[in-house]
Amino acid sequence: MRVEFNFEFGIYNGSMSVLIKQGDHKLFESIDNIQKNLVAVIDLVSHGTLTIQLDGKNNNSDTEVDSQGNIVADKYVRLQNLIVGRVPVSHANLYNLCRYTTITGTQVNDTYWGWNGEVCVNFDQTNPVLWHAHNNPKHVIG
Amino acid sequence: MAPAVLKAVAEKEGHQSWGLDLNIDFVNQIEYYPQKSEITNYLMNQVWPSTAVFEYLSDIIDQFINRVLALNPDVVGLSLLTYQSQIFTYWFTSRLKDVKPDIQIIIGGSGIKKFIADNNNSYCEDLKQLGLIDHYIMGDGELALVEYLRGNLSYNGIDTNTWIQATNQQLESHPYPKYEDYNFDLYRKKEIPIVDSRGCVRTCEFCDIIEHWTKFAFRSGESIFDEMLVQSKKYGIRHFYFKDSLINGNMKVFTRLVELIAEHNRASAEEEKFSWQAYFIIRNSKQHPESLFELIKESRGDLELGIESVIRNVRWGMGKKFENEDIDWHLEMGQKYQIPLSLLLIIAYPTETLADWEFTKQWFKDRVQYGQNPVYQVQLNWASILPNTTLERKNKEYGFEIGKFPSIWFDTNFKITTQMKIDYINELNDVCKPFFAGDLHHILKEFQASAMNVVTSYSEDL
Repeated sequence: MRVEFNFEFGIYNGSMSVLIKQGDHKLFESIDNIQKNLVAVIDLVSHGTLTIQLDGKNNNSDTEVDSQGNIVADKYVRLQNLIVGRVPVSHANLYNLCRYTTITGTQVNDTYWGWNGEVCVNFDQTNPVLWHAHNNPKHVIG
Repeated sequence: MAPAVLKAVAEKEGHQSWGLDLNIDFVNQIEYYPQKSEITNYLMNQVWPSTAVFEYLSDIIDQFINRVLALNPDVVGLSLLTYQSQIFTYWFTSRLKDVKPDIQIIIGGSGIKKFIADNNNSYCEDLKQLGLIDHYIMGDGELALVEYLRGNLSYNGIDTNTWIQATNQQLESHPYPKYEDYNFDLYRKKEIPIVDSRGCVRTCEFCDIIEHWTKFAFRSGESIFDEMLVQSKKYGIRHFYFKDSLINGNMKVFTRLVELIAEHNRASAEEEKFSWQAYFIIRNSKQHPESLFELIKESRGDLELGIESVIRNVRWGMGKKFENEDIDWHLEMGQKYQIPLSLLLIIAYPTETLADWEFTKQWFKDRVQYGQNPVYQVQLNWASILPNTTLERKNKEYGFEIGKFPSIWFDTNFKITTQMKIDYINELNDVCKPFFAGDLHHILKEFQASAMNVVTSYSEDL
């Protein structure tokens, strides 16, 4: 099953690394990416959770904050789109699908990843129609 | 019939091809499925079904894909009859590209847009952008498919919102559809569809056909009859259904056709005789003399008459310029020659008044003697404002506002409410009871009930 991740990278002091794995099997890796947008296409042959490992962020030096406390530059990764079997996941569902555990142990559902850690996405099916039936409910076509 | 048409076109170009009617398999398969309404509601209105229903739908998709891939094609062409095929096609192409990513998928047919004359081709563009399809064909596929197969992807009609309509000569030279891959036992009625023309000779303001096929193109009577002979020999079916807007657009062609069929019937044993059904426009008795009805009788024609309104002024305003006496002439001739007639009527047209409704009911009461013979059906169709029609463009002049769907529109003067229209269709339905044969009345009731549900649900939109 074709799975496409569309990432947006926040580049500040370089970029975070992204490693996508299924169990111990490495499916995609990006280190020192310099592009703002990056597409990872994976051919998923067996079902099981995909883990996205995020690394390379130094929380002391990789975020710039102005005098009012606003973030003006940041090293981060954002999942803009997830396309499964060439069918996009709606943004509401995408948010719920991404279980993000930061290195500090905080668990949230989010598509903006500004801490080192890992994100788990459930792929309990390798048939895209069934996957969407279970994971992308109320997907509107057109 | 599109798969059979396109199979013939591809074979003429030297390609091995198969024409599968997946629609009939789908319709038959879900017929007795307990959650059928959930499936149809999803495919038509995108009301998300339960996971179990989605899994059932996914099973059907896999069955169909296995059937298609067993033939090992390089190209899969999907012809969508109406927009109601769009959701299924979306998931079908996702799964097909998943199983065989290098397969070429093209889509076409009037269902690639929501309505035939709609200018919006976003469905096709979205699918193409997602990589679910490789190309789409706009308009008639007979010409564009040939160009696609020859690699001419810049042809006007491939991946464009415009297209080129076939001329009379091109219509005549199209190969006859090949139904070898069809199982006619799966259909309620065994009949061979035939395309005899495209477009229309009239310019009715409510009609979107004339916006799509802007010129009337037609085949000769000889060519149509030859197709009937060839197809009847090949498939052993002698009933034909003409698929276009009218069979009698060109009177010379039509008269020749019914002469040929009548000659064939006179010379044939009962089981070899042809019969046919077609949409038919009304003309006056000079243009449709009694001798024509004799030929229709001998050729065993069954006519669907586009009356649309029995109110003379309303009908002329629509663009249907014939007199009420002409309708009566057809009823009289139909009865005399026992020609089955089905009357098409548009209910609660925007220009109709309450007095017109009373007149319409009385009109049917006064013609009850035509019930069953020749009129076996009155098709009461809810007035719809179709996109990109003259009627839609006249919304201010006629005083209506369009809702979410073509059937949902509102009288902006508030003289006629949706409830009044619903009551009227019920009353007219009762008045027309003597005209229905068998269980057609029951079927119509079901249709109306569903139409009313839609109207009631969306009447809040205003």
